[in-house]
Amino acid sequence: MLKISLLFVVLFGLSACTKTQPYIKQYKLDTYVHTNVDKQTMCKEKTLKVAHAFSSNSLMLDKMNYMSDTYQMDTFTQSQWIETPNKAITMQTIKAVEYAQMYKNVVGSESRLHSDYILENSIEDFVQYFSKDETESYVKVVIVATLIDAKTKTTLGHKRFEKIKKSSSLDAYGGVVALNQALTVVLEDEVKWLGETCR
Amino acid sequence: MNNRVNYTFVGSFVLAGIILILSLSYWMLRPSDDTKTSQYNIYFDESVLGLNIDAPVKYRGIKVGKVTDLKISPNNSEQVEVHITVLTSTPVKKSTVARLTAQGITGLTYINLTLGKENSPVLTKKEGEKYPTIKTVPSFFKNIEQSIDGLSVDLTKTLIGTQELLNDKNQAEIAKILQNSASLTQRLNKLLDDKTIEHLQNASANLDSLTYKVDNLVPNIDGFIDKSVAWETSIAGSFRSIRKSYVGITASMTEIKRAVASGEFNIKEISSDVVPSMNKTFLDMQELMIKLDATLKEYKQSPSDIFFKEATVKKAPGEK
Repeated sequence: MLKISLLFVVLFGLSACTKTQPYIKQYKLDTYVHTNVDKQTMCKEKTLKVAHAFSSNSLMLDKMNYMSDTYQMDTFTQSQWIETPNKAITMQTIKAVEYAQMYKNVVGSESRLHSDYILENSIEDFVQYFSKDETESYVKVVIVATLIDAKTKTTLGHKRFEKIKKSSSLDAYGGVVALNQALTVVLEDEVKWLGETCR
Repeated sequence: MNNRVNYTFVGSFVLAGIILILSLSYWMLRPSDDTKTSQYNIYFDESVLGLNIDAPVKYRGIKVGKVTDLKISPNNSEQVEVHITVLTSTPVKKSTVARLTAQGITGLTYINLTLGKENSPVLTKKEGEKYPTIKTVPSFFKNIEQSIDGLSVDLTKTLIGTQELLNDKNQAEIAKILQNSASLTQRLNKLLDDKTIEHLQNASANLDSLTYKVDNLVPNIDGFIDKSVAWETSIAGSFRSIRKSYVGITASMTEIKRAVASGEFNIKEISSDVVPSMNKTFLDMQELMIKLDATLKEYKQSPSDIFFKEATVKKAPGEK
């Protein structure tokens, strides 16, 4: 009991030495993909399962990273994601395909529903780039999509989508906006491509 | 003087006196219980040398009667008929036997009665017999005589056998065997020279050593056997357990087969529920591991950050 009391006193004393941290802004992705695709396709009666996206570990953290140099990645100290980019992109993909109404059902990998097709996304890039003098900034989104026949486990389609967009401001917020816009474009392209595979 | 005598009175008195004397004499001479006797006949197949008239008849060493007559049996001249008188109180039963017994070194003989079974009935005379007949057993000397006779017969047989064995042919064979034995002994003498004897002694010493080692080894073997038995028991237990498990697995598999066949147990259906949940759990775990890894990296770089948050922070573009 004495030891526990002593520990509390020490921790209380040490807490006086801590510093107050600045407020951290949290951002989320929210795309609005409106793509006109032919709804009377052969996929109309099929179910698509969107698998959890593959990505590097840096995209599976809620930390918001940026590239300050070709080979140097840093982290915003006052900004972070509400949910990891990996999870957010997966959710936005489901949302985009669902909105296109090409399939009977579009579900996530956690769903118990049996699917006819599986869509696998591999996120190759999803980060904000700054120039060395920090006077310019752009974002780059690269996603490689693979459509798989769930029964035969064969590839029905495979395509790489890339979009680079200039940031509206030289900060995290500008990056988030640009990433959101770039992702919207990428997802629009991906939905179109999915529509083509259903013909 | 009146000399009148009453002769009737005198006669009565004398008669009474005579009767009294006769009664007294009878009373005095009547046979007591102890003097009541019974008579028996005994027929001996052996010589009754030393047995005389009035020779004692004893029952367990006590004189209970005497020999009253001795003669050659009129029915069988090989037998001697001895007539004895014994006290009635003597327990002469059907199992009672008579034996001629020598009385010391005097050469006299007496008859010794031996009671057989206690519950045997009392000896009575048979039909056509004047007196009951007591059975006999051979005397000590008769036994010796019989034994000697038997021994003599056996000895005679042995001698005849020996004579047959040692006929000319067998003698020649025996001579040959002896000759061979002599030859063998000679060869053995040649064979068992000093060197051979030394070798034999060494072999014997080695055998002793081997025996000693075996003696020492036996407890180890016993221990090994005990351990083996324990191990075998353990293995048997394990095998029993395995067999039990196997039986259990077989039963389970049969049950699963039955359930699958009847549609109660649908693996596809079950997995369709479990796999997505597991998939999500694994993804969450992966995310957690990545976060932990990142956190550890951060605190490894600056351990004091746990309390003091003193790590150097590079301000990102747009941050103040």
